[in-house]
Amino acid sequence: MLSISPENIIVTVVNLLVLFIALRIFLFKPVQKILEQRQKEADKELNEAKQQLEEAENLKTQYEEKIEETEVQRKKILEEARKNANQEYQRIVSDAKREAKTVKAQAIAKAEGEKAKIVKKAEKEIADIVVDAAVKISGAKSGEEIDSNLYDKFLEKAGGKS
Amino acid sequence: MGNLAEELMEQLECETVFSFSLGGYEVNIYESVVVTWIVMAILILFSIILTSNMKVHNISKRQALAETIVTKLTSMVEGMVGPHGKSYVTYLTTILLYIGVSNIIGLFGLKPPTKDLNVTLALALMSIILVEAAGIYQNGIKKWLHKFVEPIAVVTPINILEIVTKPLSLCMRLFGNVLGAFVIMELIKMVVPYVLPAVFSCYFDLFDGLLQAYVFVFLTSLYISEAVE
Repeated sequence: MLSISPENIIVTVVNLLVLFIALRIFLFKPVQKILEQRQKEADKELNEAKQQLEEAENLKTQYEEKIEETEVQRKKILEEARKNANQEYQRIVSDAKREAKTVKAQAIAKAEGEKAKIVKKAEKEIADIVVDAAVKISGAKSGEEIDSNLYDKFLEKAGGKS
Repeated sequence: MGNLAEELMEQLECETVFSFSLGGYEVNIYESVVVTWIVMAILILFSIILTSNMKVHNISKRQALAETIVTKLTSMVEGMVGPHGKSYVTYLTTILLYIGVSNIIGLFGLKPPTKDLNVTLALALMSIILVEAAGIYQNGIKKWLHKFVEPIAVVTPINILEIVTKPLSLCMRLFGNVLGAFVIMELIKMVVPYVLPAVFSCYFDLFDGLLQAYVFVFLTSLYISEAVE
Protein backbone atom coordinates (compact mmCIF):
# COMPACT_ATOMS: atom_id res chain seq x y z
CA MET A 1 0.00 0.00 0.00
CA LEU A 2 2.86 2.36 0.55
CA SER A 3 4.69 1.22 -2.50
CA ILE A 4 5.81 4.08 -4.64
CA SER A 5 5.79 3.34 -8.31
CA PRO A 6 7.25 6.11 -10.51
CA GLU A 7 5.43 4.96 -13.60
CA ASN A 8 2.06 5.36 -11.87
CA ILE A 9 3.04 8.78 -10.61
CA ILE A 10 3.98 9.83 -14.13
CA VAL A 11 0.79 8.40 -15.57
CA THR A 12 -1.24 10.22 -12.91
CA VAL A 13 0.54 13.49 -13.67
CA VAL A 14 -0.23 13.01 -17.34
CA ASN A 15 -3.81 12.16 -16.44
CA LEU A 16 -4.17 15.32 -14.41
CA LEU A 17 -2.68 17.46 -17.13
CA VAL A 18 -5.03 15.92 -19.67
CA LEU A 19 -7.95 16.48 -17.32
CA PHE A 20 -6.86 20.07 -16.79
CA ILE A 21 -6.67 20.75 -20.51
CA ALA A 22 -9.93 18.91 -21.21
CA LEU A 23 -11.85 20.78 -18.52
CA ARG A 24 -10.34 24.00 -19.74
CA ILE A 25 -11.59 23.28 -23.23
CA PHE A 26 -14.96 21.80 -22.34
CA LEU A 27 -15.96 23.56 -19.14
CA PHE A 28 -14.11 26.73 -18.23
CA LYS A 29 -13.54 28.31 -21.61
CA PRO A 30 -17.11 27.99 -22.92
CA VAL A 31 -18.66 29.20 -19.70
CA GLN A 32 -16.25 32.09 -19.42
CA LYS A 33 -16.85 32.96 -23.06
CA ILE A 34 -20.59 33.05 -22.49
CA LEU A 35 -20.19 35.10 -19.33
CA GLU A 36 -17.93 37.53 -21.13
CA GLN A 37 -20.37 37.84 -23.98
CA ARG A 38 -23.16 38.51 -21.56
CA GLN A 39 -21.05 41.08 -19.75
CA LYS A 40 -20.22 42.75 -23.03
CA GLU A 41 -23.85 42.84 -24.02
CA ALA A 42 -24.86 44.24 -20.67
CA ASP A 43 -22.17 46.89 -20.93
CA LYS A 44 -23.30 47.73 -24.42
CA GLU A 45 -26.90 48.04 -23.36
CA LEU A 46 -25.94 50.14 -20.40
CA ASN A 47 -23.92 52.43 -22.62
CA GLU A 48 -26.74 52.67 -25.11
CA ALA A 49 -29.17 53.49 -22.36
CA LYS A 50 -26.83 56.15 -21.06
CA GLN A 51 -26.48 57.60 -24.54
CA GLN A 52 -30.20 57.61 -25.06
CA LEU A 53 -30.70 59.28 -21.73
CA GLU A 54 -28.20 61.93 -22.70
CA GLU A 55 -29.92 62.42 -26.03
CA ALA A 56 -33.28 62.70 -24.35
CA GLU A 57 -31.82 65.20 -21.92
CA ASN A 58 -30.45 67.21 -24.84
CA LEU A 59 -33.75 67.12 -26.64
CA LYS A 60 -35.50 68.18 -23.49
CA THR A 61 -33.30 71.22 -23.06
CA GLN A 62 -33.73 72.02 -26.73
CA TYR A 63 -37.49 71.83 -26.45
CA GLU A 64 -37.46 73.88 -23.32
CA GLU A 65 -35.43 76.53 -25.06
CA LYS A 66 -37.80 76.45 -27.98
CA ILE A 67 -40.80 76.78 -25.72
CA GLU A 68 -39.20 79.71 -23.97
CA GLU A 69 -38.44 81.32 -27.29
CA THR A 70 -42.00 80.79 -28.42
CA GLU A 71 -43.24 82.32 -25.23
CA VAL A 72 -41.11 85.38 -25.79
CA GLN A 73 -42.26 85.63 -29.37
CA ARG A 74 -45.85 85.21 -28.35
CA LYS A 75 -45.51 88.04 -25.87
CA LYS A 76 -43.87 90.20 -28.48
CA ILE A 77 -46.58 89.54 -31.02
CA LEU A 78 -49.26 90.13 -28.49
CA GLU A 79 -47.74 93.41 -27.45
CA GLU A 80 -47.41 94.52 -31.02
CA ALA A 81 -50.98 93.58 -31.70
CA ARG A 82 -52.08 95.49 -28.65
CA LYS A 83 -50.08 98.48 -29.75
CA ASN A 84 -51.54 98.30 -33.25
CA ALA A 85 -55.01 97.94 -31.87
CA ASN A 86 -54.49 100.93 -29.67
CA GLN A 87 -53.27 102.99 -32.57
CA GLU A 88 -56.17 101.90 -34.67
CA TYR A 89 -58.50 102.72 -31.86
CA GLN A 90 -57.00 106.14 -31.47
CA ARG A 91 -57.17 106.72 -35.17
CA ILE A 92 -60.77 105.63 -35.39
CA VAL A 93 -61.77 107.75 -32.44
CA SER A 94 -60.01 110.82 -33.76
CA ASP A 95 -61.52 110.26 -37.19
CA ALA A 96 -64.89 109.94 -35.63
CA LYS A 97 -64.35 113.08 -33.62
CA ARG A 98 -63.22 115.01 -36.66
CA GLU A 99 -66.14 113.82 -38.68
CA ALA A 100 -68.49 114.62 -35.90
CA LYS A 101 -67.04 118.10 -35.77
CA THR A 102 -67.51 118.68 -39.51
CA VAL A 103 -71.00 117.31 -39.39
CA LYS A 104 -71.80 119.56 -36.50
CA ALA A 105 -70.28 122.57 -38.20
CA GLN A 106 -72.20 121.83 -41.38
CA ALA A 107 -75.37 121.39 -39.43
CA ILE A 108 -74.81 124.65 -37.62
CA ALA A 109 -74.08 126.48 -40.87
CA LYS A 110 -77.14 124.98 -42.47
CA ALA A 111 -79.26 125.90 -39.52
CA GLU A 112 -77.89 129.44 -39.57
CA GLY A 113 -78.66 129.76 -43.27
CA GLU A 114 -82.16 128.45 -42.72
CA LYS A 115 -82.64 130.81 -39.86
CA ALA A 116 -81.48 133.79 -41.91
CA LYS A 117 -83.78 132.76 -44.72
CA ILE A 118 -86.73 132.42 -42.39
CA VAL A 119 -85.97 135.77 -40.80
CA LYS A 120 -85.74 137.41 -44.15
CA LYS A 121 -88.97 135.84 -45.22
CA ALA A 122 -90.63 136.86 -42.03
CA GLU A 123 -89.33 140.39 -42.36
CA LYS A 124 -90.72 140.63 -45.82
CA GLU A 125 -94.03 139.25 -44.79
CA ILE A 126 -94.23 141.54 -41.81
CA ALA A 127 -93.35 144.48 -43.98
CA ASP A 128 -96.05 143.49 -46.39
CA ILE A 129 -98.51 143.14 -43.55
CA VAL A 130 -97.49 146.49 -42.15
CA VAL A 131 -97.78 148.07 -45.53
CA ASP A 132 -101.14 146.50 -45.99
CA ALA A 133 -102.25 147.64 -42.62
CA ALA A 134 -100.94 151.14 -43.16
CA VAL A 135 -102.66 151.30 -46.47
CA LYS A 136 -105.86 150.18 -44.88
CA ILE A 137 -105.52 152.70 -42.08
CA SER A 138 -104.45 155.70 -44.09
CA GLY A 139 -106.70 154.93 -47.00
CA ALA A 140 -105.79 155.30 -50.59
CA LYS A 141 -104.47 158.88 -50.24
CA SER A 142 -101.06 158.33 -49.00
CA GLY A 143 -98.52 157.78 -51.68
CA GLU A 144 -95.43 155.86 -51.94
CA GLU A 145 -93.38 158.23 -49.78
CA ILE A 146 -95.61 157.73 -46.76
CA ASP A 147 -95.35 154.03 -47.19
CA SER A 148 -91.70 153.89 -47.06
CA ASN A 149 -91.61 156.34 -44.17
CA LEU A 150 -93.94 154.28 -42.18
CA TYR A 151 -92.03 151.20 -42.99
CA ASP A 152 -88.78 152.69 -41.92
CA LYS A 153 -90.27 153.93 -38.69
CA PHE A 154 -91.63 150.56 -37.92
CA LEU A 155 -88.38 148.94 -38.63
CA GLU A 156 -86.59 151.37 -36.41
CA LYS A 157 -88.95 150.63 -33.59
CA ALA A 158 -88.85 146.93 -34.07
CA GLY A 159 -85.01 146.93 -34.43
CA GLY A 160 -84.55 149.06 -31.35
CA LYS A 161 -86.77 146.89 -29.28
CA SER A 162 -85.45 143.62 -30.40
CA MET B 1 -8.76 -9.94 14.70
CA GLY B 2 -6.08 -11.30 12.42
CA ASN B 3 -8.77 -11.87 9.90
CA LEU B 4 -9.72 -8.21 10.04
CA ALA B 5 -6.18 -7.02 9.58
CA GLU B 6 -5.72 -9.30 6.62
CA GLU B 7 -8.93 -8.12 5.04
CA LEU B 8 -7.98 -4.50 5.55
CA MET B 9 -4.58 -5.05 3.99
CA GLU B 10 -6.26 -6.66 1.07
CA GLN B 11 -8.62 -3.75 0.67
CA LEU B 12 -5.74 -1.30 0.86
CA GLU B 13 -3.60 -3.13 -1.63
CA CYS B 14 -3.23 -1.34 -4.90
CA GLU B 15 -4.01 -3.93 -7.43
CA THR B 16 -2.30 -3.97 -10.75
CA VAL B 17 -5.04 -3.92 -13.32
CA PHE B 18 -2.83 -4.57 -16.30
CA SER B 19 0.75 -4.34 -17.25
CA PHE B 20 2.69 -3.93 -20.43
CA SER B 21 6.32 -3.69 -21.29
CA LEU B 22 7.71 -0.46 -22.59
CA GLY B 23 11.20 -0.81 -24.01
CA GLY B 24 11.97 -3.80 -21.86
CA TYR B 25 10.61 -2.09 -18.75
CA GLU B 26 7.54 -3.62 -17.14
CA VAL B 27 4.88 -0.98 -16.56
CA ASN B 28 2.21 -1.92 -14.05
CA ILE B 29 -0.89 0.19 -14.25
CA TYR B 30 -2.60 0.38 -10.88
CA GLU B 31 -6.27 0.42 -10.15
CA SER B 32 -6.04 4.03 -9.02
CA VAL B 33 -4.98 5.11 -12.50
CA VAL B 34 -7.88 3.28 -14.08
CA VAL B 35 -10.30 4.84 -11.61
CA THR B 36 -8.71 8.20 -12.39
CA TRP B 37 -9.59 7.59 -16.01
CA ILE B 38 -13.15 6.91 -14.98
CA VAL B 39 -13.22 10.10 -12.90
CA MET B 40 -11.80 12.00 -15.84
CA ALA B 41 -14.38 10.49 -18.15
CA ILE B 42 -17.17 11.45 -15.75
CA LEU B 43 -15.92 15.01 -15.40
CA ILE B 44 -15.30 15.56 -19.10
CA LEU B 45 -18.60 13.98 -20.10
CA PHE B 46 -20.44 16.11 -17.58
CA SER B 47 -18.73 19.25 -18.86
CA ILE B 48 -19.56 18.42 -22.44
CA ILE B 49 -23.19 17.72 -21.59
CA LEU B 50 -23.52 20.81 -19.43
CA THR B 51 -21.84 23.21 -21.81
CA SER B 52 -23.32 21.96 -25.05
CA ASN B 53 -25.51 24.41 -26.89
CA MET B 54 -24.65 27.38 -24.73
CA LYS B 55 -26.48 30.60 -25.35
CA VAL B 56 -26.22 34.15 -24.09
CA HIS B 57 -29.95 34.55 -23.55
CA ASN B 58 -32.74 32.18 -22.57
CA ILE B 59 -30.34 29.74 -21.01
CA SER B 60 -31.31 26.18 -20.30
CA LYS B 61 -31.19 24.63 -16.85
CA ARG B 62 -28.10 22.67 -17.86
CA GLN B 63 -26.29 25.84 -18.79
CA ALA B 64 -27.42 27.55 -15.61
CA LEU B 65 -25.97 24.65 -13.64
CA ALA B 66 -22.70 24.80 -15.56
CA GLU B 67 -22.45 28.55 -15.05
CA THR B 68 -23.25 28.25 -11.37
CA ILE B 69 -20.66 25.51 -10.81
CA VAL B 70 -17.95 27.35 -12.70
CA THR B 71 -18.60 30.78 -11.22
CA LYS B 72 -19.01 29.49 -7.66
CA LEU B 73 -15.91 27.31 -7.73
CA THR B 74 -13.71 29.82 -9.51
CA SER B 75 -14.78 32.65 -7.22
CA MET B 76 -14.07 30.44 -4.22
CA VAL B 77 -10.60 29.55 -5.52
CA GLU B 78 -9.98 33.14 -6.55
CA GLY B 79 -10.70 34.23 -3.02
CA MET B 80 -8.11 31.78 -1.73
CA VAL B 81 -5.36 32.38 -4.25
CA GLY B 82 -5.58 36.16 -4.17
CA PRO B 83 -5.50 38.76 -6.90
CA HIS B 84 -2.00 37.89 -8.18
CA GLY B 85 -2.73 34.22 -8.79
CA LYS B 86 -5.66 34.57 -11.17
CA SER B 87 -3.96 32.54 -13.88
CA TYR B 88 -3.79 29.44 -11.64
CA VAL B 89 -7.49 29.41 -10.82
CA THR B 90 -8.44 27.03 -13.62
CA TYR B 91 -5.84 24.46 -12.60
CA LEU B 92 -6.79 24.69 -8.93
CA THR B 93 -10.46 24.32 -9.75
CA THR B 94 -9.67 21.27 -11.86
CA ILE B 95 -7.77 19.72 -8.94
CA LEU B 96 -10.66 20.57 -6.62
CA LEU B 97 -13.12 18.82 -8.91
CA TYR B 98 -10.82 15.84 -9.39
CA ILE B 99 -10.11 15.24 -5.70
CA GLY B 100 -13.75 15.89 -4.80
CA VAL B 101 -15.09 13.38 -7.30
CA SER B 102 -12.30 10.91 -6.47
CA ASN B 103 -13.12 11.00 -2.78
CA ILE B 104 -16.82 10.43 -3.20
CA ILE B 105 -16.49 7.82 -5.92
CA GLY B 106 -16.13 5.27 -3.11
CA LEU B 107 -19.88 5.61 -2.69
CA PHE B 108 -20.30 3.95 -6.08
CA GLY B 109 -18.20 0.96 -5.15
CA LEU B 110 -14.97 2.07 -6.75
CA LYS B 111 -11.72 2.44 -4.87
CA PRO B 112 -10.96 6.16 -4.48
CA PRO B 113 -7.75 6.97 -6.36
CA THR B 114 -6.74 9.27 -3.53
CA LYS B 115 -6.35 6.19 -1.37
CA ASP B 116 -3.29 5.36 -3.43
CA LEU B 117 -0.15 7.12 -2.28
CA ASN B 118 1.08 7.45 -5.86
CA VAL B 119 -1.87 9.64 -6.81
CA THR B 120 -1.54 11.96 -3.84
CA LEU B 121 2.19 12.08 -4.47
CA ALA B 122 1.58 13.08 -8.06
CA LEU B 123 -0.86 15.76 -6.93
CA ALA B 124 1.60 17.11 -4.37
CA LEU B 125 4.44 17.10 -6.88
CA MET B 126 2.37 19.06 -9.34
CA SER B 127 1.38 21.49 -6.61
CA ILE B 128 4.94 22.21 -5.50
CA ILE B 129 6.13 22.56 -9.09
CA LEU B 130 3.28 24.98 -9.73
CA VAL B 131 4.06 26.92 -6.55
CA GLU B 132 7.73 27.32 -7.31
CA ALA B 133 7.10 27.99 -10.99
CA ALA B 134 4.59 30.67 -10.04
CA GLY B 135 7.14 32.22 -7.71
CA ILE B 136 9.84 32.26 -10.38
CA TYR B 137 7.48 33.49 -13.07
CA GLN B 138 6.08 36.29 -10.94
CA ASN B 139 9.22 37.55 -9.22
CA GLY B 140 12.09 36.45 -11.43
CA ILE B 141 14.71 33.93 -10.45
CA LYS B 142 16.78 36.42 -8.42
CA LYS B 143 13.98 37.45 -6.15
CA TRP B 144 12.76 33.88 -5.92
CA LEU B 145 16.18 32.79 -4.67
CA HIS B 146 16.30 35.76 -2.34
CA LYS B 147 13.11 34.59 -0.71
CA PHE B 148 15.02 31.68 0.78
CA VAL B 149 17.02 34.01 3.02
CA GLU B 150 13.99 35.92 4.19
CA PRO B 151 13.33 37.08 6.81
CA ILE B 152 16.85 36.26 8.06
CA ALA B 153 19.63 34.11 6.65
CA VAL B 154 19.47 31.65 9.52
CA VAL B 155 16.14 30.25 8.33
CA THR B 156 17.48 29.37 4.88
CA PRO B 157 17.76 25.62 5.58
CA ILE B 158 14.20 25.61 6.84
CA ASN B 159 13.05 27.45 3.77
CA ILE B 160 14.80 24.94 1.55
CA LEU B 161 13.35 22.12 3.58
CA GLU B 162 9.91 23.61 2.97
CA ILE B 163 10.18 22.69 -0.69
CA VAL B 164 10.05 19.09 0.47
CA THR B 165 7.80 19.40 3.49
CA LYS B 166 5.07 21.36 1.77
CA PRO B 167 4.24 18.73 -0.85
CA LEU B 168 4.92 15.93 1.61
CA SER B 169 2.38 17.33 4.06
CA LEU B 170 -0.12 17.90 1.26
CA CYS B 171 0.36 14.37 -0.02
CA MET B 172 0.30 12.67 3.34
CA ARG B 173 -2.63 14.68 4.66
CA LEU B 174 -4.84 13.71 1.75
CA PHE B 175 -3.65 10.12 1.72
CA GLY B 176 -3.91 9.74 5.49
CA ASN B 177 -7.38 11.22 5.66
CA VAL B 178 -8.79 9.03 2.95
CA LEU B 179 -7.01 5.98 4.34
CA GLY B 180 -8.11 6.71 7.89
CA ALA B 181 -11.69 7.27 6.81
CA PHE B 182 -11.59 4.02 4.90
CA VAL B 183 -10.20 2.04 7.85
CA ILE B 184 -12.73 3.49 10.26
CA MET B 185 -15.55 2.75 7.85
CA GLU B 186 -14.38 -0.84 7.50
CA LEU B 187 -14.22 -1.20 11.29
CA ILE B 188 -17.70 0.21 11.72
CA LYS B 189 -18.98 -2.13 9.05
CA MET B 190 -17.51 -5.07 10.96
CA VAL B 191 -19.04 -4.00 14.27
CA VAL B 192 -22.45 -2.84 13.08
CA PRO B 193 -23.18 -3.97 9.55
CA TYR B 194 -26.55 -2.17 9.23
CA VAL B 195 -27.70 1.49 9.25
CA LEU B 196 -24.76 2.91 11.22
CA PRO B 197 -22.26 2.65 8.33
CA ALA B 198 -24.62 4.68 6.14
CA VAL B 199 -24.69 7.48 8.72
CA PHE B 200 -20.93 7.50 9.13
CA SER B 201 -20.44 7.20 5.39
CA CYS B 202 -22.16 10.56 5.01
CA TYR B 203 -19.42 12.06 7.12
CA PHE B 204 -16.35 10.11 6.03
CA ASP B 205 -17.09 9.66 2.36
CA LEU B 206 -19.01 12.80 1.52
CA PHE B 207 -18.12 15.50 4.00
CA ASP B 208 -14.54 14.53 4.72
CA GLY B 209 -13.89 13.75 1.07
CA LEU B 210 -15.03 17.17 -0.09
CA LEU B 211 -13.35 18.82 2.87
CA GLN B 212 -10.01 17.23 1.99
CA ALA B 213 -10.37 18.38 -1.60
CA TYR B 214 -11.01 21.88 -0.30
CA VAL B 215 -8.07 21.70 2.12
CA PHE B 216 -5.69 20.48 -0.56
CA VAL B 217 -6.66 23.28 -2.94
CA PHE B 218 -6.74 25.81 -0.13
CA LEU B 219 -3.19 25.01 0.95
CA THR B 220 -1.88 24.98 -2.60
CA SER B 221 -3.55 28.37 -3.17
CA LEU B 222 -2.00 29.64 0.02
CA TYR B 223 1.46 28.55 -1.11
CA ILE B 224 0.91 30.14 -4.51
CA SER B 225 -0.31 33.42 -3.07
CA GLU B 226 2.70 33.40 -0.74
CA ALA B 227 5.04 32.72 -3.63
CA VAL B 228 3.67 35.38 -5.97
CA GLU B 229 3.27 38.22 -3.51
